[in-house]
Amino acid sequence: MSDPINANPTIIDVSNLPTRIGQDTKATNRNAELVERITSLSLLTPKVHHPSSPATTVPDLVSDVDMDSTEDELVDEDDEDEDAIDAQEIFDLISTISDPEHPLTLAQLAVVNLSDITVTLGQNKNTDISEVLIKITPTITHCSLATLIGLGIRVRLERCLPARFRIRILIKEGTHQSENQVNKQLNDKERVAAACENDQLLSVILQMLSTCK
Amino acid sequence: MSIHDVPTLINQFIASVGTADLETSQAHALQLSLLLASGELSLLQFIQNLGPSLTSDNDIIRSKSLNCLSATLEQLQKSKLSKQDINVLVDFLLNKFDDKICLQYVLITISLLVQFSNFLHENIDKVLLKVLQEYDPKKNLAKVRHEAFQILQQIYDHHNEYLVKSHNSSDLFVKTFIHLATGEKDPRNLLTSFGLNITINSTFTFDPEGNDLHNSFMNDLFDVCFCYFPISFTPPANDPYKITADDLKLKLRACIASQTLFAKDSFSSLIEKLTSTNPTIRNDVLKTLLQCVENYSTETLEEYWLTIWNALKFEILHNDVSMFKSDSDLLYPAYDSIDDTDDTKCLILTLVIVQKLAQRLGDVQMDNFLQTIKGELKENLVKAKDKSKQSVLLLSSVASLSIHSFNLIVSFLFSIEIWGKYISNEYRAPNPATELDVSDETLNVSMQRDLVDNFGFVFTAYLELIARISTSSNTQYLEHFTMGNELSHCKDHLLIFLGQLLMTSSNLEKTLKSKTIQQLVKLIKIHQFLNDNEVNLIFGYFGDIIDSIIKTPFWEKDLVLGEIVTGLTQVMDTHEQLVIDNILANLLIHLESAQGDFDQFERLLNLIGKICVNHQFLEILSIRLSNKLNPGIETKLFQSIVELFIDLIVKIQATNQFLMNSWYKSFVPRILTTLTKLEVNPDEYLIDRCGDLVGLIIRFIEKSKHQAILDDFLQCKIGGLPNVFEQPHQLVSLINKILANVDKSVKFEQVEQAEESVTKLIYSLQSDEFLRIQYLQTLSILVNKFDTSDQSSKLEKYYGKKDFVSFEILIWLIKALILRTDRVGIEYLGKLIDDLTTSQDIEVKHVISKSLTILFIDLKIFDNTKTTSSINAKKLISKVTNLNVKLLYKQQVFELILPRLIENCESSENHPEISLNALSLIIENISTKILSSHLKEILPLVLRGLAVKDSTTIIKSSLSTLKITIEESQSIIQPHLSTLIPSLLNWATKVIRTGNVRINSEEIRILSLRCLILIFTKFNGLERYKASALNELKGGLDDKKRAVRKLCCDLRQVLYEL
Repeated sequence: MSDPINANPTIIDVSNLPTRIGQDTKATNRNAELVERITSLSLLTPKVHHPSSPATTVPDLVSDVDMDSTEDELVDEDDEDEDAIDAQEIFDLISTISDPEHPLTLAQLAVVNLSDITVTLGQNKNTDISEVLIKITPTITHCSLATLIGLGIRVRLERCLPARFRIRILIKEGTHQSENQVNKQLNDKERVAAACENDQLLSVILQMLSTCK
Repeated sequence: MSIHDVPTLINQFIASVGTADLETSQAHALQLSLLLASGELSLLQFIQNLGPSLTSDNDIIRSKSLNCLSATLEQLQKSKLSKQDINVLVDFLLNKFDDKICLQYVLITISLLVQFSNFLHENIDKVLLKVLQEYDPKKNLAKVRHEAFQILQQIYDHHNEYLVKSHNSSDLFVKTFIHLATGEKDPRNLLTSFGLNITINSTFTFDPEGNDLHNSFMNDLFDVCFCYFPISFTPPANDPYKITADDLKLKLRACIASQTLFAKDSFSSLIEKLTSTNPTIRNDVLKTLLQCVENYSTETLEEYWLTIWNALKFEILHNDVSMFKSDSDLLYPAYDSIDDTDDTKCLILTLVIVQKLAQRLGDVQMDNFLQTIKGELKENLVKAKDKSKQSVLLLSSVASLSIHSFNLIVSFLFSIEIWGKYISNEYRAPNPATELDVSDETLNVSMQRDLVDNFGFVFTAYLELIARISTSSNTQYLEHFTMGNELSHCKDHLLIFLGQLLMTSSNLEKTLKSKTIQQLVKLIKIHQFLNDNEVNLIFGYFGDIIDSIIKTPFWEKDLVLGEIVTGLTQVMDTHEQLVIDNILANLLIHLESAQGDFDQFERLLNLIGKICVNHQFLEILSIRLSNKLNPGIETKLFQSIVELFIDLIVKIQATNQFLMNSWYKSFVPRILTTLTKLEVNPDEYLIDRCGDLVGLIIRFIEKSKHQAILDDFLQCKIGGLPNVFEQPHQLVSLINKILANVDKSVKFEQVEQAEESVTKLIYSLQSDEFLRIQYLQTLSILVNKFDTSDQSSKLEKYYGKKDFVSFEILIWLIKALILRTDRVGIEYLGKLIDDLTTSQDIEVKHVISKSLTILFIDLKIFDNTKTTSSINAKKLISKVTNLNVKLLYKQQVFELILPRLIENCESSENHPEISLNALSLIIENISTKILSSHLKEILPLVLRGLAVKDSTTIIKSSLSTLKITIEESQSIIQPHLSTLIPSLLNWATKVIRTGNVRINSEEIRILSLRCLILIFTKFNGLERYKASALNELKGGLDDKKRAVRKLCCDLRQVLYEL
C-alpha cells in the first residue's frame, strides 16, 4: 500500500477495548469448590463415578450411527446453561481483524464498535432465523477500503457463526459519501460470492484475518 | 642411532614425507635434530648428506630434501647453530629463490633460521631485501605466501628491538610488508597481514610531514587494509583454519583504528561508506568509527571532530528515534547484543560515538564542540519542531558526560528562547516582540507530550551523570554538583509546570499524564534533587489523581493509575514514609468509606497491594489494617484482607526474604481472635485461607521459636482456639496448617494419644464427610511428621478390618508413610494393588481404585508450592524445613503402580474399566515431567479411554493425557491420527449421552478442541481432513457454551489457513 488513504488515524489503546477474552466469566463459589474438592476424597460414597451398570466386558465404543443430529432436537433437555451469542461475542470475533492499510485492528481504529452491533436471536434455535447487524464506521468518509473491510468482517463471521444467523453489514449512517452503494455491495449474496472467488482479494482478506484472536 | 644412519634417515624422511604418515617423517626429523643437537653430526655433514637430493634434478626429491632440512631445524633447539652455520645456510637459501618448486620450503627454513639466537642482524636486511626484490607474491599460491608473511612475523617477534632502533631496517621491513600485503586475498594470510599492519603501526614511529617515504608508507599501509572494508566472508564448509567472518572483521577494524595517522583517509572513507542502506554495513562502519575515535590521538580527534560530528548528526536528525524512550536509559545498555542487521543499533552506536568523541576532546576543543552543537541544534528547539526530540537526544547524551557540559547544555535548553518560555511565568511578561508570535508559545497537547519526553531525556542524563561521578570516586564533586547545578536552578519552575500539566490537562489525555508522572517520579529518584516538601507536593498530586480516578467506573485498569503505582513502587525504598503518610493514609480512608461496597473495597485493597513492595511497608500495612479486624467484620471483607496478606507476603518474600517473628506477637493473635469470635459462623474457605496465612507467617519465623509456637497452639494458649483433639471442630483445618508449617524437628508430646483421639473422632464423624477428611488429614500429618514409631502393626490392624472408615484410615496412613517413602507404606501399597487385581468383589476393586487418588493428590499440608510457589526453590531465611516429604516419592510410587495397572487394563477378566478409571484419577494428579517418559506405554490406554462412552472422568483424563502426548512426542501420535481426528471431532461437536446425562461436558469438548488445534498446528500433511473437519465443526459453532464456540472458531481459522 503505497499511499495510505488516511495516514493519521485516531487509535484506541487495546487495553481500553471492551472484551471478554481472557476474563474468567465464571464467578465461582470458592467455598463450595473447596468443600467439594475435599469431600471428593471420601471413600464412603463410592458410587459417584461408577458406571451405571458394572459392565463385565470392554466398554462399548461410541458409534457414529447413534449421533444422528435429530437426536439432540428430540431430547433438548438443559443439562447445561446456555451462553447466548451476544454483541460482545461478535465484537470479540471481529475486533482483532487487521485494517488493510494500517498495522492496527479494526477495533483500535474504531471501525467496529460494540454499540454498533445488534444481535436479534430467533425464538427457537432450530427453526427461526437469527440476525447480526453490524454498522461499521470508516475512518474517513471517502475511504475506498470500506467494502474490503466489510467483506473481511463478513468472511470472518460466516466462518464463525452457525448457519442460522443472517449477517447484515451496513455503513454507519452519515459516515461515508457513497453509503448506499457500499451497503448494496456488502449485502448482495452474488457479489460477495463473486468477490470471494477472486484469489487476490481472498489473499488480502486472509491477511486481514490472520491476526484474529 | 649413530651418525652412520644419517643417509638412511634422510632417505626414509624423503620416502615418508608427503604421505598420510606424518608421524614417521616427524620421527625421522626428530632423530636428525637430536644428532645435530648432541654434536654427533655437524651441520656441514648433514648438508653433505643432504647434498645429492638437494641438487637432484627431480623436482620432487629436491623439494622433499629441503623439507627435510626445515623439519629438522624445526625440531632443533633454537640456540644450537653457530653464527657461521646460519650465515652459510641463509646465503644458500637466498640463492634458491628462483627454484619455484622449493620456494615454500626455502621460506619456511628462513623463517625458522630467523628464530635462532645466533641469527645476525645483518642477515635481516639481506633477507628482507631479497624478499622485496626477488619474491613476487602474485605468482605464488596462498600457502607459499603464508610462509613469506611468517618470515616478517618471525623477524618482528625476535628482532623488534633492532628494527625499532635501525630506521633503515624498519623502513625496509615496512616496504617489504607492503610488497607482500598488496593484492592478498586468502583469509588466513589477511589475518596475518592485518596483524602485522597493527604491529607496525603500534611500534614504529612515522613522520609523514618531513619524510616522503613515510608519507607514502602511510598511504600504502592504509590502502592494504582499507581496500577490504567492509569485509564479508563466508567460511567454506571444511575450513581447516576455522577462520570466521568475525575474526576478519574485528582484526580489520583494529587495524584501521591502530594508526592515528590514517585519520585523513579513514574518517572520510568511513563516512562515505555510511551512506550504504544496508544496516549490517552501516553498523560495521559505525563500530569501526567508534574504535577509531577510541584509539586515535587526542590531537587527531581535535582536528577531525567537526567532520565526524557533521556526518553523524544527520544519522540521528534524519531518522526515526521513537525507539528511545524517556522512561528508560538513554542508551540501551546491552546494545552490543542487538543484531547487526537492526537499524536501531545504528542510532545507538551513533550516540555512543558522539559521547566517546566528546569525552576524548581537550577542554578548549570541547568548548568549541559544545558551542557548535548548541548553535546547530538551536533552530530545531526554539520552535517545537519535529527534530526536537532528535536534538535533545544528542544534547542529553553529551550532557550526561561531565558536570561542565551538563550545566552548559541545561542552561542552554532552559533558556528563555527554548524551554524557559514555557515553564516560567516570569519570562512570559508582556513583551511586544513575542506577543506578535503568540501561536508559537501556546503548546498543544502533542507538543506538551513531546516537551515532557524531552525533559525526560535531560533528567535521564542527570541520573547517568550522577552514576558516572559517583563511580569516579571523588565524592566531593558529587556533593558540589548536587548542591547547585543548572537544573536545580529551574527546579521550582519545572515542578510547577509539570504539576500544572498533570492537574489541569484533560482526563482523556492519558498519555500526557502518564509521561508527566514518569518524569516526576524520575525527579524524585534523582539523588538529593528534591527535598521532602517537594516530594510531598508531588505525592499530593498523585493522591489527588487517585482520589478522582477511583470514582470512575472500571478504574482499576486506568493507565494513569497504573503509572502512579509503578512510580510509587520505584521510589518506595527511598521515600517509604512519605508514601505511607500521603498515599496509604489516603487510601485507608477510602477503604473505610468503601466498607459497604464490597467491589470497591476489594479493588482498593488490590491497589494497596500493588503499591506494597517491601516488608517495611507491609508491616505498617499489617498494623493499619488489623485495626479493621474485629468480630463484627463482614466475612467477605475479612477474607479479602487475609488473601491480600497472603499475596503480599508471598510477593515480597519471593524477592527479598525477611523474618516475621514480630508478626506472631500481634498480627497472628489478631487474625485468630477475629476468626474465633466472628459473629457469623466462618465458612470453610475462610478458615482454610486463615490457616494458609498463619502457616505462611510461621514458616518465616525463626526455627528456634517453633517449639514454643506448637506448644501454644496445642495448649490453646493463643487466639481463643478450642481444643480440636477433644471435640470435633471445624477449626481443625487451621490446626492442620499449623502442624504442617512448623519445623519438622519440633517435638509433639504424646503424639500417640493425639492419634488415638483423632482416630476416635474420625469414627464418630461417619456422616460429616468434610470434617472427617480434615481429621484424616490431621492423622496423616501426625504420623508423617511427628510419629517415628513402627507403624506396621497399626496398618495390619486396619488392613484386616472390612468397614469403609477403617479402610480410609488405612489409606491416609499409607499416604503419610509413602510421602516419606517409608518401607512399610510401600509394602501395604503393594498389597492394595494385589487386591485390585485379585479381589473377586467388584465393590472392593472400585474403592481401591478410587483410593489411589488420595495417595497422589497434592494437599496444601504436604506441599508448599500450593501457597508459595515462587519462594519454594530457595532456602528460607528462617532455616525452617516444614515438610517431611521426599522429593521423588510420586515418581517412585507411580512407577511401582503403572505396570500393574496396565496389566490389569489389558486382561478383560479384571474389569479393565476400573483400572482405567484408577489410572485416569492418578494422571490428573501427576506432573507432565513424570508422565512424559511413560507416554508410549499409556497411549493404548488413552485410545481405549476415548472409546469409552459412559465415564466423564476417564474421557477427561484420556484427553488431558493425549494433550500432553501430542505436545511431548509427535512420533507416538502420528500413526493414530486417522482414528483420533474423527473421534476428537465427535467428542467436540456432538451431543453424547448416557441416559439423561451428557457425557461430553463443556470441559471435555474444550479439551478435545484443544487437542485438535494442537494436532492441526503441529502435524503436516493433514489437508485431507480439512473439508470434513470444517464441516463437522459447524455444529460446534452453535454450541451452548461460549468457550467451546470460541475454540471452534479458532480451530476453523487454523483449518482455513492450512
